[in-house]
Amino acid sequence: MIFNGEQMVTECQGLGITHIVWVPDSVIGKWEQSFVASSLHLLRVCREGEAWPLAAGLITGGQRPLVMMQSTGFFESGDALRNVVYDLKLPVFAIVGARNWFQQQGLDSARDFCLPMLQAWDLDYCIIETESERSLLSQHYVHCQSAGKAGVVLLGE
Amino acid sequence: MSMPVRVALQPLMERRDDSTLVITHQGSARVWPSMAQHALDFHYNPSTMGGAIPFGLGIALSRPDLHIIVVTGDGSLAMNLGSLVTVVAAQASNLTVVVLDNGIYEVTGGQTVATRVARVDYGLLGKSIGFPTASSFKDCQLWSEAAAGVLASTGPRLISLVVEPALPSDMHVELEAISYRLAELAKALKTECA
Repeated sequence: MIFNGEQMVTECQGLGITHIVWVPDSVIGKWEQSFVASSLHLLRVCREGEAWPLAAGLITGGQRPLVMMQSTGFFESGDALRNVVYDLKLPVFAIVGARNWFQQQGLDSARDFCLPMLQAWDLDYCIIETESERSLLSQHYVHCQSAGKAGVVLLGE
Repeated sequence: MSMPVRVALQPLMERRDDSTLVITHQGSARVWPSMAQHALDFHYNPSTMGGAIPFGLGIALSRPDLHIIVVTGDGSLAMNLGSLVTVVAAQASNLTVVVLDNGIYEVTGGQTVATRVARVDYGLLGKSIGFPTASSFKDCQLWSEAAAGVLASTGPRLISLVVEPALPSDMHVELEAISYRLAELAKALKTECA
């Protein structure tokens, strides 16, 4: 695991994140107890399409949410993402878990569409594949927030 | 029995105050602006279908000093029914969801929504999900008489209003770009988001 729960909480708190808006998967989901035990507010949505407008409402209300979901949920929630980024023009930021990222010969097509989908939505993204790349999360968050634009960290799973 | 949309919205307009933020969506976002204007009105079009409730929930959680009313349609809600569960799970006591239930996709020409075929009762649905307050109204007078009490009851609240389709003349409204309107809302909320 690239980040454990305590490390992710530390990262989020260091960035001033107030709320985690998520649909967990088997990797991201391991952080749940750390979030619950922290000062971060964990908001559990039922479907990824809720996550983007919920984050938009939090931003509008002056909060700093971080969206977390698996790549498949990212695919499914595209129209909600489009509306928030390109109509509302809000700088939402997300960690997207790339399902089967390290299984290059696998039978799961989800891996193949991660980068094309991020590029299709013209999102500023970076990829974290190893523990040595952890610092990219805060760097990319600060970069995107400073520029006032949406961003994604694609986390290899 | 059902209510004209404008008549159904009137009790909400009469009871909103300067600590109430009203988010309209789809059909209601076309009708409400022709009936009233307020700095804390936000008409969520263009939008993503079903996005208004999560958006309103986010503001409700951020601003517990405000009462957030989200007015959405049954077609939109059907695309995001889980958002009602999210509202209850988040315990957003300052949020009221108003569903204008006309049984059709009004904006696209009046096609039937599956929830009408299935005869969904949003008041019963809300109760089963766990809304402390969940009510359905089909009659103008009953709704008008009950509105104050329902809006003052324990939240989050789910109110279903069975309405007639809007008039064709109500389906066209000229608004500024939504990003501009959101920035204006942020100014009214005194936040820096846009």
